Amino acid sequence: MIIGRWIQAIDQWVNRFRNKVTFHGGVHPAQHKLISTHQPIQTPPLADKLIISLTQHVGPASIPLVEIGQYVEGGELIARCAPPLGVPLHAPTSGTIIDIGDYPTSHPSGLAGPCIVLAPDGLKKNKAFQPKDRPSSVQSLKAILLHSGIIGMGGAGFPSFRKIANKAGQIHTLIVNAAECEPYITCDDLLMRERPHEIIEGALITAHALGASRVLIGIEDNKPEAADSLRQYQPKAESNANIHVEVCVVPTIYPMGSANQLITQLTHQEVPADAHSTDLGLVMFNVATLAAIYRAVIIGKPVMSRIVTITGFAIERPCNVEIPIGTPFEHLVNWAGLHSPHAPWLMGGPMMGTPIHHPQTPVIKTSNCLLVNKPEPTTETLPCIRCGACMDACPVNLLPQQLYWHAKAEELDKLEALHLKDCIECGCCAYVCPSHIPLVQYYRHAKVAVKKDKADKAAQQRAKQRHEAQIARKEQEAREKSERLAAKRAAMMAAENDKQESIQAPKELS
Amino acid sequence: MTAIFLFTLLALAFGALLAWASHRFRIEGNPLVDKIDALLPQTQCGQCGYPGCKPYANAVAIGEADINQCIPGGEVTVIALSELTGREIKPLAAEAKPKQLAFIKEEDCIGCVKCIAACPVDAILGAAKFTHTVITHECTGCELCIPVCPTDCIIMENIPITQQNWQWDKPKGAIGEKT
Repeated sequence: MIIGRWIQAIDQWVNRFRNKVTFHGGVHPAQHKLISTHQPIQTPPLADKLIISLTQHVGPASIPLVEIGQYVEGGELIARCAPPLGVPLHAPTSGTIIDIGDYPTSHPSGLAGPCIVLAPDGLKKNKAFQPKDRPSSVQSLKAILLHSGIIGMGGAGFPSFRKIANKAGQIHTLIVNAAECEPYITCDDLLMRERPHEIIEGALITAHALGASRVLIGIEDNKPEAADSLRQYQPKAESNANIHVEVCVVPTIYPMGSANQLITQLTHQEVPADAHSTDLGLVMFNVATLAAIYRAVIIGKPVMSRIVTITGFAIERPCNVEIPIGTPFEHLVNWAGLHSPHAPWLMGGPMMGTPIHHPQTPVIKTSNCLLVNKPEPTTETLPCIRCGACMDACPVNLLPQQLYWHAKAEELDKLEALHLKDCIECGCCAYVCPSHIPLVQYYRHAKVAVKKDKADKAAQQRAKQRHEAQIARKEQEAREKSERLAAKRAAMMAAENDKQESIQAPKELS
Repeated sequence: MTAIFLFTLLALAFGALLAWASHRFRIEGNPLVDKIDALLPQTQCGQCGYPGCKPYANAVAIGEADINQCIPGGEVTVIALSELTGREIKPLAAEAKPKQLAFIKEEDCIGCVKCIAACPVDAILGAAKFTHTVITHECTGCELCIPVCPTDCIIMENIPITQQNWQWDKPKGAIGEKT
């Protein structure tokens, strides 16, 4: 086991020098991908209820359009998007809406969020999908992305329609994120092996609409089967032949699948801190997102299901499953079998995954993996020895140790000066830390502290303005009142004088 | 003799220059007041004994008030004021508590507009003989509306923790380390 690990590590280093990594840092955690790639994508039975979270994406919660007791068919619109960042939601299967309310969601806090609960009738009756024409303009592609509820399915959850530039021709290269760098996760790998047509056709549809001339598929060298599967697929004749598709095998290193790192690796360009990849003429989509785009255009089917990896050494039959959105994780674990009941559940991989607090937590559009490993012995945090290993590992070229000191002391202005907001929370620094300091947790805490501080300052400023406006208004009211009084008094005096005069006048006459 | 004459002349010239400069570049008001005011939480609550943040800032600037009287600002404000004014850090005059927001129990509200008049930031909406309500995101939690309400229908509520404002716990320090 240990020798195998060493061989793997040496192999990775050799690869690294042969096919050079062009970004700084990165780590080589043990892969453990093989445990879930033995079986094809499975379809477990339907759960008895689906909990569809209204906050699956980045942005405000979607607004429910259904009522309790209503019968819906699969693919029917059940919640509309809340502008400006939302996406609509569709029924994952046919059934009856049994509740709309707060349920545990996969938010890292474990706090309940708004959800629609659907009791499937088991008939899997879908509404009639209308295939759409291949979009020829950016606007028509955006409309399809929005109405099909497509968000970044690699884990970001950013609504895809907001990711692309408005003008045609602004994007010259579509980058397909097929790196899947995080250990244990294999859902993209299996998707590429089994459905290369969905990915390539989806990429060609997207590239054609954007006016891009090049599609680069970045795939790590630990997935040779998937790379072969993509290479062997011959695009259909009606797909645009002017688009050059290239499968680029990149070295296996974590976090290769992070957007900016993969861009640096493939194009040797670094996305500036205050810019987006679209400013460089690039746009990146995950393979699962492209497959969703393919289905939205060719079949007319919105996002109703996704592929999830159920894996970990505490799972009896680890594999990949395609399941409707909203399936509770407990249902999946019961289906796949569990060795140790006390093992903690993680949504996502071991590096960036967040704990699942409640077994009924549902799968959302961005849930790529359920990881259940036996609990590891806890390691005590030791004081920082200032070794600098975190700095060497940071793929974003930040100074994790400096950030740690300032985050600990809550020196928010210094954290901003050290670009805390550019931290991608990949966990490389904490992975290499010999003192087992939970660095990422410090950064996550500090990021919210910075955000709250800014919000507080803005609220203070507003309160000050409102108070000053009120004082000015009250002063003006008082001034106007005294002016009115003075005018009234003057008028009364004048009237009095007139009276006096009129009384005196007859006397003079007589 | 020449030296004395020369220096007198220079002194007069510079004196004139300074007099002109002080007249030309005069700053209205005390600049320290604005700096102090910027550090205060702008709740306008009057817990310091002054009718608002600006009057308290003024009182601190002229040395009339102490730097530890701003309760909602808490320890952070005391430290910031101490750094700015060079005065010694003192413990807070009263115990600080987390920010709360006013909430009107609408079934008890009689529409008397007394709270509207008391609110320093115009965060209460309503009219005479109509139910009032608090504009939550403008409320500073100053509690000035509480004593004026004749039916005691205004209560202070904790800000609920939601998915939007939730914060990761700060990790415990290393073993043997002071927290």
